[in-house]
This record gives sequence, C-alpha cells and structure tokens, in this order.
Amino acid sequence: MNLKKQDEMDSRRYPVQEHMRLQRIEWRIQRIGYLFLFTIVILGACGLFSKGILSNKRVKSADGALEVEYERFGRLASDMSMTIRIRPQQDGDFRLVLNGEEMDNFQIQSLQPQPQQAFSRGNALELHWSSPRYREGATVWIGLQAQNPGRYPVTVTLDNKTSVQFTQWIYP
Amino acid sequence: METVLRAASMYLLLLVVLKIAGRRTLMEMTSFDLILLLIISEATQQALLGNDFSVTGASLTIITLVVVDILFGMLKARFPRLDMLIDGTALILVENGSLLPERARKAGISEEDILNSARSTAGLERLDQIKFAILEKNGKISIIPQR
Repeated sequence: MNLKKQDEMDSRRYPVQEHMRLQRIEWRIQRIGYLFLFTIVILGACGLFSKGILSNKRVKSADGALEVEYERFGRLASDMSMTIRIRPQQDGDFRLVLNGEEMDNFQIQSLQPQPQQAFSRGNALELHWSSPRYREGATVWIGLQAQNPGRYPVTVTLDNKTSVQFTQWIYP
Repeated sequence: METVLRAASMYLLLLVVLKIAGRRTLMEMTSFDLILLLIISEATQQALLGNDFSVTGASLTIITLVVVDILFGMLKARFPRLDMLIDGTALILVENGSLLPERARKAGISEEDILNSARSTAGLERLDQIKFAILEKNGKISIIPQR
C-alpha cells in the first residue's frame, strides 16, 4: 500500500487519537528551536556571554596615557578581570580613580600590586601608588566579582587628568 | 526572592530546551545519555543554589520547583491544548505493516529504531508483522503486533 503524502499527515483516530495540526506546530517549533540553540552555542563560543572575542575589550584614553582592558560582558557572581596599563611617566607617582555604580556592584577580589593608599570619595574608589619603579610605566590587575545583574557604566581616571569610560553588562 | 526566581527560571529553561531537543533525544538511555543527564543536573544545581549551603535555601528551591510543577499540572488540566503542546501527543509511525516515512523522518526516528523496539518489546522480526507502532508521549515506541 502506497500512502500519499497528504494522507500521511492526516490525523488517525485509531488506535490513538492523533492531533497532526499540533504535531506539525511542534515540529516547526523544534526546527526554529534548533536554530536558536545553535545560535546560542556559536555566540557563546564567541563570547557574548562573557570571556571571548566579543567580550574582551580595550579602551585607550585620548592622550594614550591610560589603557584599560576589560570584559564587556560579565556574569553574576563569577570572576572577571580588568587590566589597567599606564604609560611611563615623569615621576613614579600615580593615582587611579574607579568611579560609578561599579563600586557598589562589584566586589574587588584581588588588586595587584597593592596600592600604598586607598580612599573612598562618594561612589569612587581612589587608589594611590608611589615608587620610582613606576617611571617605566605600570600595570594594575584587578579581579572583580559582580553582585547584581544589569548595565554598569564605569569611569577610570588617571591623576585627575585623563580618563576612559566604558560600560559593562552583567548577565543574571 | 532570588532563590524563587532562579528555581522558576531554570524550570522554564529546562522545559523549553528539552522540548526543543525532542522526545527521543534523552529518552533512548544509552549509557552516554545517562551520563549526559547527570552532567545536565550538575550544571543546573550550580545555578539553582550557587553558594547557598543553607537548609532554608535548599528547601525553598525544592518547594519552588514542586510548586511550579503543580502549577503547570493545573494549567495543563485546564487547557488541554497546552498539555498537547508541552507534552506532545501520541504519533503513529507504522500502520498495518507499512512505515509512514514522512512522519518518521520528521520525528527523527528510523526504521531501525522501530524494529529495535519491535524486537525488544514484542519479539517481532519484520516490519510487516507490526500492526501499529506508536511514538508515545514519553518517547518510547509501543508496538502492536499483527494478528
């Protein structure tokens, strides 16, 4: 017996009641769903959900004295890193100010090298380093952990002169 | 509140992903599928509880999951169409000894899968000995032999 395609897609009543219309909707949803899941995996591999080429960003201040590498996307309660690079300077003194809601939302897990002094001013964290060695430039590594999801603008200021701004998006 | 939201969102996510994966994907239960399920549960557990080691947190998560499940059960009983869409419906794959190829293809089931079920559950050898093969809601294939 050779069945026609049309007949094959008709609902049978015996031995079970079929609902081919719903079944076809289900198959269509599945087809779209496959595409959706594949897209998520590919985007995830590229770093849309933190840690990857889409996520790793680098901003430089206009005069080039300050450069920040950060993660555009982060996840709630997981570690993310930020690297701040400073161009060689006249004196070995520099002061960094981390500003914004950033500081309310982020726990600083590690801060290397340790600053000589640290203050707070409103929502800002002010860090001060001083050593002749820093004349050759300096790098500060910060390990952060986000406490709340959302979009957070961050400003990093060097010596009250030059600053960079960026935003971070934290997934729940 | 966060615990409740975590549990409810993980429930919905698993519902959607497993629905997309299809009835058969995780139901075949080869040893690999078992391991895959264990890994999925492990990954889920992290998101559900995070760093919370308290009895209260675990209780709240469990109760939320059960309540969401009860709610879905009530919704399904109220709206039969929702039930059919979420759980699917039975689908006939073999009718009077002949395979319905378009259906089998769309459901991702080969003739070999049906024969496998026929051998193990009904002791049948050939397709023409099968009167009906039905893909059930739970992903198993029921075989009704020809008399």
